Amino acid sequence: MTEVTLVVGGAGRVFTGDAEVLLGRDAACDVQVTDRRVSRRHCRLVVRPDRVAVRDLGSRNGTSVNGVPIDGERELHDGDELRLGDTVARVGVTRNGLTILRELGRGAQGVVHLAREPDGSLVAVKTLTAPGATDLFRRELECTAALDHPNIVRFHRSLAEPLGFVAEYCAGGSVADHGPYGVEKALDLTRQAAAALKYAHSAEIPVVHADGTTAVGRGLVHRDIKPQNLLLTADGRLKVADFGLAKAYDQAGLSGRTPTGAIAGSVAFMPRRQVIDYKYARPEADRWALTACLYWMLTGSPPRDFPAGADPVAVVLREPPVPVRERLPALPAALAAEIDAALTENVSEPRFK
Amino acid sequence: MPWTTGEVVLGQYEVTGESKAGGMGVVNRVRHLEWEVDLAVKTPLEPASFARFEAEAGTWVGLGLHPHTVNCVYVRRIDGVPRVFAEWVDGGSLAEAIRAGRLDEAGKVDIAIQTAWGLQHAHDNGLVHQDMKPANVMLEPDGTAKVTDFGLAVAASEGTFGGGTPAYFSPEQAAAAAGDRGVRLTPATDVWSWAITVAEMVAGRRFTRYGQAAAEALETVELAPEMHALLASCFAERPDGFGALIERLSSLYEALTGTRYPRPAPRPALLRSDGLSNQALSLLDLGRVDEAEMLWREAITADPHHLPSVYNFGLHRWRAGTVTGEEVVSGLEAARAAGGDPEPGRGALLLGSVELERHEDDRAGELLREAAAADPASAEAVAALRERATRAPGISAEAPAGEVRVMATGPGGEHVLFAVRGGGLHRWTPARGEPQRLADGAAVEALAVDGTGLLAAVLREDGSLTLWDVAEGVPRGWQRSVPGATSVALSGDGRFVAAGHGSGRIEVWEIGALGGPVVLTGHTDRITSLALSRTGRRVLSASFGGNITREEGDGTVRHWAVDTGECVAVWTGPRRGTLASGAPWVHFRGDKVVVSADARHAVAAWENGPLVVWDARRAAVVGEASHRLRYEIVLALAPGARGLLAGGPSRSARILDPRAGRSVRAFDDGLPELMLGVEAGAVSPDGSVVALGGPYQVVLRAMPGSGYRAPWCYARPRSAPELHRVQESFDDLIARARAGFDAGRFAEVAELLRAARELPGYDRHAEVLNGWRSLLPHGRRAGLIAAWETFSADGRDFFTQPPTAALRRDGLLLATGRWTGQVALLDVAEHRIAGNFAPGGKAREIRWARGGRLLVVLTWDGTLRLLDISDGGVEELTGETGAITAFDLDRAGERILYGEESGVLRLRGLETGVKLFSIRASDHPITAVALDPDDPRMACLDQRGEVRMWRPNTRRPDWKRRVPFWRETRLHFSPDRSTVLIDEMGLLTGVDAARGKKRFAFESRGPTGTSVGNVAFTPDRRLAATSDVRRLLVWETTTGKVRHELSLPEDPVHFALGPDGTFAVVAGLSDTVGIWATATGRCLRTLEGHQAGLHVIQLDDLGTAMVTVDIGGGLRAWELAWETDVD
Repeated sequence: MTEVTLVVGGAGRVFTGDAEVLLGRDAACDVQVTDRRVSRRHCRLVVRPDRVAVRDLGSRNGTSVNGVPIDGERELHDGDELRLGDTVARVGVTRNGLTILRELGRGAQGVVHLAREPDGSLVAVKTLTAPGATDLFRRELECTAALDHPNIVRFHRSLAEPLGFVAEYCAGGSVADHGPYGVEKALDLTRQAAAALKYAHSAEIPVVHADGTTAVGRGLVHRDIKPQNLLLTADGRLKVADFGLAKAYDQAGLSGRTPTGAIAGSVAFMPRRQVIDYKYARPEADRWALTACLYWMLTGSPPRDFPAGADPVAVVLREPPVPVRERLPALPAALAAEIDAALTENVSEPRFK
Repeated sequence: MPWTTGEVVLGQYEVTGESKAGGMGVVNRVRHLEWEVDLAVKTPLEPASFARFEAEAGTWVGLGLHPHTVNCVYVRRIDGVPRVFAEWVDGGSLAEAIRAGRLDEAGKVDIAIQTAWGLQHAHDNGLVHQDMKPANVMLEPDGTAKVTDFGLAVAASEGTFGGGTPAYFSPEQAAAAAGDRGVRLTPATDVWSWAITVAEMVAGRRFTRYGQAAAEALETVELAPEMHALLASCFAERPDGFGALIERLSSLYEALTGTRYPRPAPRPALLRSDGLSNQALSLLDLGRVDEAEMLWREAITADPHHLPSVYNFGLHRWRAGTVTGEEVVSGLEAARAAGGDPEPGRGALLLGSVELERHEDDRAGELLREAAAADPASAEAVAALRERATRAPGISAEAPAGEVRVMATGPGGEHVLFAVRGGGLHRWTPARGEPQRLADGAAVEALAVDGTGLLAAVLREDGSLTLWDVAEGVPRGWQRSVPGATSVALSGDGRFVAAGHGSGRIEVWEIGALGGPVVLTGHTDRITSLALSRTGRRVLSASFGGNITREEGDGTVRHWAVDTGECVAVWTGPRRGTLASGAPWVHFRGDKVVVSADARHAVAAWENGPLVVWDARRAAVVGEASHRLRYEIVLALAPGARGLLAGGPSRSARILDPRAGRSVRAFDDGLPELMLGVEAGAVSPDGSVVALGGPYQVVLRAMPGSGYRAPWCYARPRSAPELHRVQESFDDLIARARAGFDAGRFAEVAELLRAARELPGYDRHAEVLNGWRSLLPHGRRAGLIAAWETFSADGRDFFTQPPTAALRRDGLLLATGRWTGQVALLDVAEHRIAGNFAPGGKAREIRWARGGRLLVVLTWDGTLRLLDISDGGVEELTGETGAITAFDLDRAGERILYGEESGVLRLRGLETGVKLFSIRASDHPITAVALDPDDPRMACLDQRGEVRMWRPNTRRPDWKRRVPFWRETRLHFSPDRSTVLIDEMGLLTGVDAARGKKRFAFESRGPTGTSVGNVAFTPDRRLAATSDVRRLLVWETTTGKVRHELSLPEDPVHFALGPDGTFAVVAGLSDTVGIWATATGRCLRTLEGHQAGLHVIQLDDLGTAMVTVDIGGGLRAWELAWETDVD
């Protein structure tokens, strides 16, 4: 839900949802501006769930945003100053009560924005593209609010329209935004993440059953550990993001919708077994993924090479991980052996039962 | 744009289900209210995806019917949005069934087999589905599974990657998705995705997120060993078809249930005419016109009188300007007369709709009421009747007191102003009835109306220019005297009036303003076409040799700014030569130029040049096409140059698309009989109607593309199993009929054919018609089942005049003479030119000889040309003593007798070329000869009117006999050789061949001035037919005994006798052809389509193929299908 506040001459008006707001001197306008330099029908605000814009209606003296005359249409953001003739209108844009500040990132699952709560605190808002998602999906997500650990991003609440959730904001970006890292730093980050996983894998957490009932379960597997999901706070602490999201997608039958371009990103840090077996969601999968993250932090590459134009799933199926010392010969042998061993999967697993 | 539940779209489809998102867009369940059939309607979401959607829909439409694919009924645009109408399948998708866990083990194997069949059908049609998954399998409540959503399907020959669902990707799809451009998708891709689908169904859950990992993922699923082995082999061996898999699944089913797999292997159902016509409409909607036309031809070949096909195809060609509205109506009437349409009132509805679009409102009203009475539920009939009710009565009216000279019409034809030759000014308001005289005076030179049609300017020859209030019918008070003015214009807003003078001067007045007019000078000759823009600021004028005047004009189109009085642009014709002065020759006397009333466009039909549209504001040519305008006296241009009215001088008027030069509507046949010529015309300022005037008549017609359009006729879809059942019984009956025929049990064959004919959709199937045709020599000709045109050709510019044509006795080849001296051979069955003989003399008479291997052509130059159709050889016989004037052939067609101008007769063997005999038969030129069918006995006629009978090696004729008129007289032998028939003008005399004594005579009232004679024979010449007043007499040639007498509505002019004499084909002076049963005297069928009087009617020996040629060169080939009675 988008709310637009328009403050003209001390009086504020709020418009919500899909709306088109006509501004001008004419009495029939939604917002009448009594100013001789304002045309009868001056400009129009277009309020949509995903954007707010102003369109000049060919007014004689034009419309400006933040002092810049607009040519046709321009998108509006919170705090913009709209000028019609000699009249100034201040624009406030909030979504679900949050003031959206800027985009933090964009991925296959949706967009993340930095936002401010009414109380002034900063939060991250993730808007999800999940066509056909039901209430069950939201309830599934809400369960992750039970996770309380210094190395796990706090889940605040879910949003219905548009679908998404509000979570703790980590100012330091993600592990993927930096690096490669030195051995010490990489191990330190990995240890923090491992602590988070260890906690989550055994934490008490509500489980939503298909019939809608809830029970208390034990342990939550992340299923999508990758450098992009390992966030950093301003002071450099690591927090694991998007816990429970992959499960919620799976539960709702929405997985497998990864756009083909993003497959490489999502399978590079997945154990082969998880790529093959859709239901495979044991703590080992997260541990393999975290090892792969460590591999990445040290070398800047995932354990396997994904040549452009090759099917990434086929790469995972056919190619074993590259021994880490081949990428980074200076790595201490013991650590390298440990990493390689952790990434080794038994390909010829016995058939089911 | 989204539909809501309960809404009724187009009065036809009730939306019964919520819209759901589907692979191709939004899916709605609708109920077709008349057919009582549920359909799934798929609509694309974004206009941007329309083109792709249409391409996808086209693939699906082309797939045809199969019991295990969801059938696409048709694609049609509604509100500008393409929508796919597909079969509605009631039981939900396989994905839902898997989730609900409601399938048992045997049922799963059953679905695996059925879906394999469905995909196999796509593969057999050269398509790869590309998106096989449980969500794309629909289940009927009875357990039938159907593969759907051929949205991504592509031709296997192209194999391009179109998308798909990653969880069901084959490795090659995944590679293509990752960017590998070298990948070609084959049916093996569908086998892979199918195997994942089956594994998911058997396991009861999705088991992989990435289709390409299915081989490995299969190992994580618990499956019975046989099923596991089967599916694993799909991933390991990559079969490119389902053949072996289906067999393995069948035995799996047997092992599982202990019973044989019950479903027989399906086969695709061939679409009958219904389906083909729907498919054609879909393709037309998708812009694939050629393919649509091909399908309609196929539909009409399958059933020549199939009402929806005849209607849709006719409507399509009419709107494309290739046939006239009358032809559409006659085709529909024939189809309706042939009967057998199962839908009550549909014939009347379709005919009525066409008549309504033609603005034949009275006829339309009758037909539509009939349709509504037969089927009160018909929404289309109700809609058409509603439209009919809005039509002003009397869309044509009598113009009192003379010939209409000039006219103008307001928007929608609310008021029409016209002036007659004497000067009387009239107003016709169709809503108020007949035209009304407003004023008399000097002859009216020109008329103009403003944009509302309520203000008119009237310019008379005496120079008086007045303004009129059209609604009140009174003058406005404003008037000027403009002696010598020739044209007038009003601005669209009615504030300015302009007059163009014979001197080339143009004056523009602001009505109500003081002061004199603005004068525009530049033209140096008579202004012939003048227009003022809507606000009167611009003038567009043309000065050309008008169609009615002697003056030539100055040959320019000029665009003026009134404010400055300046000529802003000048347009002249293309250079078509150089004048003596050395200047380019750009102005021809025959140039025709007209400007649109909104002063935006001028259209010129340059003599010896193109048809060109000129945009005055841009001073640029915006369209160029070829044209054949030459004698038209009425030209008017619709606003925006959207249509050019070209009319006269005879009863003809057409609307042309001036940018394409194409005729989009011909009004000729739709004009009232009384309107003998088109002499005036106008287009309304809104471009919605044209007004036409002629002697004592004024007519309003809708501009094509405006107003009511007859809706397409969609045929009720039939399910594949239903079609199968019928097809199987049909095939069975035909197979039994074939066997019966081979065994000579003809009576049984006739019974079987009658049974086959009763099956819905097969009443005129080609196999049935072929069957009857083969049976014809073994029985008696009974009823006429069907008569339809197989093709038509316009030979106006090709054929000799009068046309000459000869149909071979087997009806397969037709020889026609061309004015170039060529003889063309037409393959009648294939509708194409099979050969062309090099030019010789122009053909006067053509006959087949030597069992159809040789053509004998007598030319107007007096030579005989022998054309060998097997090797294309040409032998030319010239008279040894003067031109050859007549010839005849013997019964076998092996010998030819010909007479020369010198009076010599020669007999010659056609194969050997041996001259058998020659005799100086007369001292005068021979004008007719006849050869005894079996003997070298011969009769001849000379220019003195003497008939002589000769035998070889005699010095004297056996006998002589005088006839009063030698011109047009022909001679014939009766087949028993006992009688010679002397076919004179007005009289046919049978004389004793031995003695020359008269035995009998018939007065005949045949046509004069033609060279075809007044008698028609059966091929064996046992029977002959001669014409009488409104009668045709059929008599025996040996005795003259009259066998039959046909009473006819008009005097027969051209006619032919069926081979057994059971029917006659007769044409009178009008352009229709009737097929009459001689025994009962009943008219079996009337064939329409010719645009001029008939000149040639020829039948083949079976009486099933017929060719007719009219005097205008229009050629039509017909097929007549007869039922046969066998004793």
